[in-house]
Amino acid sequence: MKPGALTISLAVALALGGMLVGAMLGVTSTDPLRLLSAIASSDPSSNDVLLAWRVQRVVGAFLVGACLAMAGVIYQGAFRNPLAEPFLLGSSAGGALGAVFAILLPWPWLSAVGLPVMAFVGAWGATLLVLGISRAARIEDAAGMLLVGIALAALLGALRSAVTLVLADESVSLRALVSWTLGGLQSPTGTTLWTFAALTALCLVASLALARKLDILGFGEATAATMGVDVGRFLTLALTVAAFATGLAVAWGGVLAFVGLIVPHAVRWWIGERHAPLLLHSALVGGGFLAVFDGISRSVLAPSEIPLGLLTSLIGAPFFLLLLVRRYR
Amino acid sequence: MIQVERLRVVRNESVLLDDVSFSLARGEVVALLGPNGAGKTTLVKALVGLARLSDGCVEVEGRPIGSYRAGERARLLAYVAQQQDFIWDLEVGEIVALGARSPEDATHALAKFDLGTFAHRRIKSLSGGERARVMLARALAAQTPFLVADEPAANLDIKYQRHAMQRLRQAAQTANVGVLVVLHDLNLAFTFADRVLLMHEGTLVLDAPAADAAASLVLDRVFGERFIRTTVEGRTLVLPAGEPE
Repeated sequence: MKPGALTISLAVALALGGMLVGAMLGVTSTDPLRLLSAIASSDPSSNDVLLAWRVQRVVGAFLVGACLAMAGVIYQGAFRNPLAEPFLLGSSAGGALGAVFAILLPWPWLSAVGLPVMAFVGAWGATLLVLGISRAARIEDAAGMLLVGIALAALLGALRSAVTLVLADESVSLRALVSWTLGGLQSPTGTTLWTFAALTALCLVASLALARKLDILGFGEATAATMGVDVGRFLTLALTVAAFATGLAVAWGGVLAFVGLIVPHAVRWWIGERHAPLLLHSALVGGGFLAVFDGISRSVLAPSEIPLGLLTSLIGAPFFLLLLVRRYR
Repeated sequence: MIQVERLRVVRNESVLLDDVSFSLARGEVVALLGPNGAGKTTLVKALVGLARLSDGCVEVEGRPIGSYRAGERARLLAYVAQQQDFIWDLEVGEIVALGARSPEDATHALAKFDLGTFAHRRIKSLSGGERARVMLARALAAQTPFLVADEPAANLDIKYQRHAMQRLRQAAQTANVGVLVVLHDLNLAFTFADRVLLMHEGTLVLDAPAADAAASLVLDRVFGERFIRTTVEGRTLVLPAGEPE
């Protein structure tokens, strides 16, 4: 279907519908009218406070999903590799390592201000490492670059575990930390939620500014260079934006595999591969997708929660295998 | 004007280009000929700023090609590569629009290459020849003063080979575009080009008007063929006569 007003309306409907379903699910399911009254209510004594908390969490899930979907589209465009995504490239693992440092190091300022910053630095560093190693080894095919990312993700995951074991003490719940790295959404509230939303919107604007050149890069670096793209500078910029989106998602959602793969692919099948509409639709659909999955993670084994990362992997890994089979058949 | 002066390109101790000098003026069509491995693609890449020069220089409108920023260079020179990646399955109209100065330029370029009805087709659903026409349309839509095309006719059938060369010639005559085109079909070059450059083992061995190039025995030596010359509608064309002497 050609992207346009109709597809954008559908994507917005999917986003709002996803958030609605996500908010209705939980330890106790609820109906939409009660949700609305909970959002409007200022009475702190009622059970609706819990619902209001849930709505904030669902909005957080939406923003994490939007960031991961955008990061996936940008990585795929920049690496000219439809199978690239933050988890498989080791970018999420780098972000998680940075975030774990921010949580565990005994400097309060780092934990308060630095969680998203450290997650961004980790995601960015890991991405540049994958790019650097691939270029040094003259790896140009999609599978080779992903292998570099997977190896780096394993290394960074091991480092994260080591750092956790060495630095964790009684002041930090190890269980909470492990649960977060498996994909556990934070519940941003108040100013934090608004800041997160503003930064996600900034990512969307920045990524839309990259869209035309991501299209051109699909013709190969040589042709792109003759069509006005300063390839080296553009890749640095694109990977910085992608790492920023990944860092935001990791800071508030932990390590969530395959969201950046599933959503852009589904949207590609739906509206085509031009990057501007792809980014916008993927952000909306990715947000709605994760909001629903967050609701499922809170309701299936209620009152316990299934780490969201387990759910996305359960869906995402077979999807990735399906893509691989289609690619090599 | 594009001015190439004493160009030398060395890679891994092999000399790919040596002491190549020529010029390309706006409004002329120049065909670059030569056997496989003669250095045509390396020369084209050097011309559009994609090859590192070991010595010499390429100047476009009086400035070294390397001194232009990517955006400035794209407004001066359009390039059609010999082999083209299509990672994303974009629509034909979208691809041409990516290179165009304006939507109107894109529409005109599509029409020029008989691609008007293909505008909403996905590029990966097209044949090699159709894709080549799309990339030529994309380059012409850029409305640059110079256009460099590396074997644009390679995948085209005989009708569209002539059609594509007519469009390039038209761009030179009506829009004052300087065109350099790599060709393997000698007679296509002698029919549509004003001037012919002949490469052999990294050097430029002939730079002559098309009619003189067709008559030159340097052709026979470079290609290792004996050519029979014939005149058709006032143009000298060549036919291979048999085994090399």
